[in-house]
Amino acid sequence: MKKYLLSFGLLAACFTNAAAQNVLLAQDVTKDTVEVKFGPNKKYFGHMYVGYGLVAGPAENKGSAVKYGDSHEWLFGYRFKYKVGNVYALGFDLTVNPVTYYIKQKASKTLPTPFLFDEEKFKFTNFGLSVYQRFNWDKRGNYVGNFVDMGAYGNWMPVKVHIYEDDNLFGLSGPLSGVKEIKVRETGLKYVEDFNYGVLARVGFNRYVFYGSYRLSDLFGGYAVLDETGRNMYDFAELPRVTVGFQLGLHK
Amino acid sequence: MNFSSEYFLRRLFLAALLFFFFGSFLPVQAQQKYWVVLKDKKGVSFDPYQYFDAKALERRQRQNLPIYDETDKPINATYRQQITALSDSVSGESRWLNAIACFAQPTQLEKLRKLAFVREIIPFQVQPVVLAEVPDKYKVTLKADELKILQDQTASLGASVFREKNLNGKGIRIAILDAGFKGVDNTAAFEHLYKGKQVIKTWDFVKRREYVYDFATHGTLVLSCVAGRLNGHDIGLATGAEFLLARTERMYSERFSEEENWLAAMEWADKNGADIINSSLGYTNDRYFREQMNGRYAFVARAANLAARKGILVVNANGNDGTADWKILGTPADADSVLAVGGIDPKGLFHVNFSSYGPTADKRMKPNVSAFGIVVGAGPKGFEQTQGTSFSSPLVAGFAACAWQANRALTNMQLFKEIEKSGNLYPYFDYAHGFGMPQAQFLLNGRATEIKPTIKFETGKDQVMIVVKTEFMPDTTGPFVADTTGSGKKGTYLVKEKHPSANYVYYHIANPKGSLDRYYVIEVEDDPEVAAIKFEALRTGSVIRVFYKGYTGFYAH
Repeated sequence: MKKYLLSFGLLAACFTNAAAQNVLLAQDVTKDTVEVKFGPNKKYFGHMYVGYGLVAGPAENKGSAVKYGDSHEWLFGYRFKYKVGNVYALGFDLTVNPVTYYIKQKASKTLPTPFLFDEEKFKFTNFGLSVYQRFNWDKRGNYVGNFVDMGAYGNWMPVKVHIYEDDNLFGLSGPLSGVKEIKVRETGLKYVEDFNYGVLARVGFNRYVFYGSYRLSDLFGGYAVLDETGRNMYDFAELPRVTVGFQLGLHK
Repeated sequence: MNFSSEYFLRRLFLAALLFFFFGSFLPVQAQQKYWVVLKDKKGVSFDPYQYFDAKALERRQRQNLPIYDETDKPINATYRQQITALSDSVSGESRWLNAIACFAQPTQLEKLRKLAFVREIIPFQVQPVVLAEVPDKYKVTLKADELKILQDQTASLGASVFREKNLNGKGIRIAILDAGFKGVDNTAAFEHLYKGKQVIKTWDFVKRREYVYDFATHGTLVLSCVAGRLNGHDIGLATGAEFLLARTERMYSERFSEEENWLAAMEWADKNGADIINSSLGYTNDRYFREQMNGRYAFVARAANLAARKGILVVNANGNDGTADWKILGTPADADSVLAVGGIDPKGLFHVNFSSYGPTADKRMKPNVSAFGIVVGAGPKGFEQTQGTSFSSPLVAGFAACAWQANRALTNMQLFKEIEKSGNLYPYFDYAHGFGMPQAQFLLNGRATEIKPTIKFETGKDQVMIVVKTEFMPDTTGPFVADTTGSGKKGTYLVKEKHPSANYVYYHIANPKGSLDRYYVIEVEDDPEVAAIKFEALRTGSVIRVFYKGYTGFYAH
């Protein structure tokens, strides 16, 4: 039971009041029946989501080969949707997207150097904006429902880190040096592009979404320092362009 | 970017990736289930005397309805053949809606649409909701508070009045459409039904067999709330009625076929002479928007109205979304010919919070009436307290059976109106209680023509005040307070000493169009001033109606 005092605000708002009574039930139908424009299958909808994906597809050549299964990305984003009709919608995503590429330590490796380590990785953090068009099928109530999204994204990559570690790094670590392991963290990598873009596709079943993205732009090659032969020292073979994964929409 | 062979390899990989997504997904979705609605039943012959049970014919004759109409005729066999040939498979049909249920691919759908005799093609519903919470523990003995609920769930409707007149639904045939009737055939609570040969027919529309006593206990509990009797206690009111038991739903896995089953069961119930159909099905936000709850949009609502046109009283749970975002009733409770039943809290004796609210999208009053939403029913192993408007509905179905037994001359819609008029709040109503709990006393004996006003309106400069008259201020000195029916006849339903329910003031503000803008239930304590409503909250033509102790007063602005 709601005591009168607790309900006073509600009652006062609709210009009624009571004195020293228990208000057991108070319903304002006019508020209930106002048409709502925001909702999973209403005119506008927005929700947060999280995602995890694995780097897939081939690198440009063996010089940039990555460890599949380890190389991955996280997605934290907000997705907005504008419903054009029951089968078609448009929208955009704002995302924070940390990506980690674990570089395969093989003799063929060239990115960013031919040197081999116990572990070597690139960590990039993207801040992205993507736009998409959505095709829904099947009639549904106020649910996102089943859909296919096709879109494009653009990322700004302010965080670019190259990390490598070894227990015998150029003799600076290892049994003779008294240092067990050295981990080097290089930041501000000029040879990695600040911006990248690509296309994306998603298949969703309400809040459960499978996605794939394909990076069209190159990560390397924009920064040039020529060696004595006139070759750009930083024009590395591209990392894999494809990511596939799963997203969970944080909505009903 | 470059255009080396590796670049194209990558493109190929991307294409393969997309193919994987779409290729693995689309075929599953492409085969969807549809209702193919036909335009006519040309050339179809029909013998109602062969098709209908004698009870079904009797019901039509009694209510001066035609022995059959176009909707009773079977589907045109040629049409069926053509649809079968053009679809993947046909899974069922509805002669009422002149529709065939089938699975079809998009390409087949196009061909089906082009058939001259096809009116429309409608995708199937998904995810209906069984409007209850089913317990997993049962017992034979009851605690005092549970025993009180058990006694009050029928007493609150006037069980003693029906009993005095030997009204127990005898001669009335009730169809229960539910998710399974586990244990009904060997449980003490239903022994009397089998001894009396009152279970006339059963059919499992999911498994397509006669045996329905398996899978779920929801139907068992529902049936108990219509006609169960255990340890000397009547759980429902219609212990003498006849029953048709139809299993139409799976309890936990919702399939496309359930709507088809429900429609088939409605027709089956009609064919087998059902007078009343009780259903606890409700479709809400999985499929619909609130603005579509208008009684015309949903297929099941249209089917429920068709059943009513054939003289059947359809009783349906209003829904359990009172505390959910959806909040309002589901369909088919929104159909205008369906008696939608809301839930009452046995302790507070007013709206139980989970019971869905009205009105319909087109502002019609729902629920129509109410009954206990927390009940004690009987499952395979004994009593159990359970909750949901699923159980309010059979309590009222039992009430309807007794009422119809008392006056067989009534048509189904006349009975519908009589049940509404017997509500303990009538003529007051709101969208939480409808007209309140039906009362046997009012239904059989009518109400006092003149009821002394218990409240008055005091008009001030800028407001109108609802004031309880001094002589009707709450009196809690006696061993029992007045019953909640407002009948003033102590003994019909004796509520707990000092129970506040008799002191409730119900009031609503209706707009000039007649629908409600606001409504309240207020428990009167020491102060006779119940509420002050400022004129600025009213429009010209607004009406304030107030119910208190059996009297309904109104103030027109």
